[in-house]
Formats: sequence, C-alpha cells, structure tokens
Amino acid sequence: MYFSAFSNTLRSLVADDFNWENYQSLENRFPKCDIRYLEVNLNAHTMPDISLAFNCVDLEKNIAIVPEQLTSRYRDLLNLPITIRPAFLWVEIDKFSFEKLGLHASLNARSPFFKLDKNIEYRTAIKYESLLSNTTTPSKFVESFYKNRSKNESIEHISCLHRDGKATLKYHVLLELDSLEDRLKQYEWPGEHSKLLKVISHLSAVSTISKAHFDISVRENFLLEKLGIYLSMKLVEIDEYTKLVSEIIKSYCPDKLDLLPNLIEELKYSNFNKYWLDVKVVIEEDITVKLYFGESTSKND
Amino acid sequence: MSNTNTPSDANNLFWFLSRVLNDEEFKDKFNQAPDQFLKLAGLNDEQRADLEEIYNIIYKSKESGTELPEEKLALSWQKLIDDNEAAYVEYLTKNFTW
Repeated sequence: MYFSAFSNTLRSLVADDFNWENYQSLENRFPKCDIRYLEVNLNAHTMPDISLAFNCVDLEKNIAIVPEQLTSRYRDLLNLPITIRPAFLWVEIDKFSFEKLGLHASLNARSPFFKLDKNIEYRTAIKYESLLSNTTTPSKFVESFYKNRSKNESIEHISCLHRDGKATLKYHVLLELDSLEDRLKQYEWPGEHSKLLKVISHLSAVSTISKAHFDISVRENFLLEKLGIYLSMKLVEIDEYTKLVSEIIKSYCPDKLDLLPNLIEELKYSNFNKYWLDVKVVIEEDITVKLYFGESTSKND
Repeated sequence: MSNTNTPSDANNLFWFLSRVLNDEEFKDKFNQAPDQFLKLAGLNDEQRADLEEIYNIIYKSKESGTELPEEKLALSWQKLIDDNEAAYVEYLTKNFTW
C-alpha cells in the first residue's frame, strides 16, 4: 500500500502522539482511491503535520471520499459542459479530520484546448469559484488577473478549503518573476513584499524556480497574506533534493534540522527516487516548508 | 527539466493532441510531416479522423478570428473520450497531478 511505503519516514518526522491509525484506516477504507501525494508541513514553531491527497478521476471513486455536505458541489463540477469540466479532481485531507476536509478541483489548464481560448479560461475560473464557494460574483482577484495578465501568466487550478465554516479559495498561478512585485501590488496582496522578495531571491540562488508557481489564497474576496512558492522538482535525483531541502530547512525552520538525517537516510534506502519530490515555501506570519512525496509521472515539469 | 515522457505518452492520443495544440515547436514539426507523426503515434484511422476534426475546429476558429464553436468542440471532444476512455484516464493520471 502507498501509505505503508512512507510510514517509517513519516513516523520519524511527526510527534509521538500523532494518530497513525486514522491514516491507515482511511487507506484501508478506500483502497480504490489512489493516494497521489503526501504533504509534510514544517515550520519553526509547531510539530510537523501531514496531509494526504487522493486521485479522483472518476465519479464513483470521488463520491466515496467526499463528505456528504460537499457532494452536491462535487456533482455540479462534474456535470459541467465537457469543455470546462475539471479534467482532474482530488481531495486533500488535513490531519485526517473529516470536518477539516478540503475539496480541491483542478482547472482544465492543461487540457488540450483550454489555453487556446481566453474566454473559456475566464468563464471556467468564474464557474469554479461560484461552485466551490457559493459566490455569485467573480472575485476581485480573478477579475484583475484576467484583465491584466500577460501571455505567459495563467491560473493553473483553483482549490477550495472548507474549514471552520468558511471557504478559502486557493489559486495556483503561474506568474512571471520579473513582474511579480507589481502584480502583487495590483492584486492588493497584504503580505510583506520585502519578505517575499527576500525569500524569492534566496530560492532563486539555491534552486531553479523556472516556472514560478504560486498559491494565492482568497477568503471573503480578500487576498490572504498566505502565499506559497513552489519549487517543482519532478523526477529529481535524491541527492539534489536532499541538498536543497537541507538548505531550505536551515533557513526557514532550523529547529527541524534534526529531523533531516532520518528522512534522508530512509529516502536513500527506499525506492523514493522513483517518486517526485516537491518543495513549497509558504509565507504568512511564519514561513512554512512543505515537502511533497508523490508517485513519479511523465510530466514535462 | 528536460522532456521525460515515456514511449507510452507518445502513443497516447490525448497527449499527442495536447502537444499539437499547445506546444508550438511540436506543432511546427507536426505540420511539416503530419503523416509521419501520426504514424509514430500509432493512431488508427478513426482516431486520426477524430483528432483532425478537433484540430480543425480550433484552428479554423483561430485563423478566421471567429468565436470558438464550443458546442461543436464539446461534441467532438466527448466522442474522442467515449471512444478512447482508457487512454483518456491514463492521460489524466499522468498529466494532471496538480
């Protein structure tokens, strides 16, 4: 089972009182739902926590793990016309509490014809927003994005996290680094721009942020300070990965450095070089480092 | 990162269509020798016809600057999926992880 392959590494990372049985029971309960990736969150002040994401290609598999209160929205997404229907859906489970479950829907950004027509792309983004968060008017962010975007910028997918009775929309966006600061001002991003630029400068020095993917979060039509920067490392060699992760953890959560030897040791002695290993740095009040472990694919990233 | 696609991707008609539509370099090479490319992709006559139909709908609209006929496109796209479901699921699984 997918989870079992990771469990020793993960056990070495998290607190002793972590409820492992929840993870294992979920995997046993939904054996037909492929687990796509594990996400380990590290920051300087709290113990690491873990999320699991499930592949959801077909409706039957999806309905099995989507909580009842979200199934109608889910069906609405899958009933959209084929040209704007999500090509792929996944569910991400946060600390395995179903009350905190978030429904994630990928935008058809990489479907064969999505990017060919700006109107389809815009209307899809608006539709997803309305279905995921029950809003009736487009968010200021999406309006501004499509009004001002350059040719190389795009919204890759939209997710929605339902937590504490509120919906947070998350836009996975491809932005150009050169115009990043101007763009964030334009969108009225409330975070510290100097902190962001410092992080970008550091990450550019230690890695290649070639695609400059960002997660921009919106709640009740306002951008949140939370901003994720992805370092896409699909199919990277394990040595390169561990070097980069060490550098990043040293910089942003040095108190977690003692977790690294176990992680690296196990990665080396497992088949993890067959997996993709991504890193994401999230800026809000603190800086969080997220490590993703997933199955390798044939993507060009 | 360099191209890491496996042979099974190249033989997947959805992957093939995606590259023809979105990758300028791939499209140019394809247009220079379409028969050779389609042969390499291992498409049968019906798949080839379906694929060409979608390609033509999109590029006729682009070239003429007219609005994309979404309904027509949706019908052709649905047919392609219905006729090649396994290939579509494989394509999604490999290309839409995020």
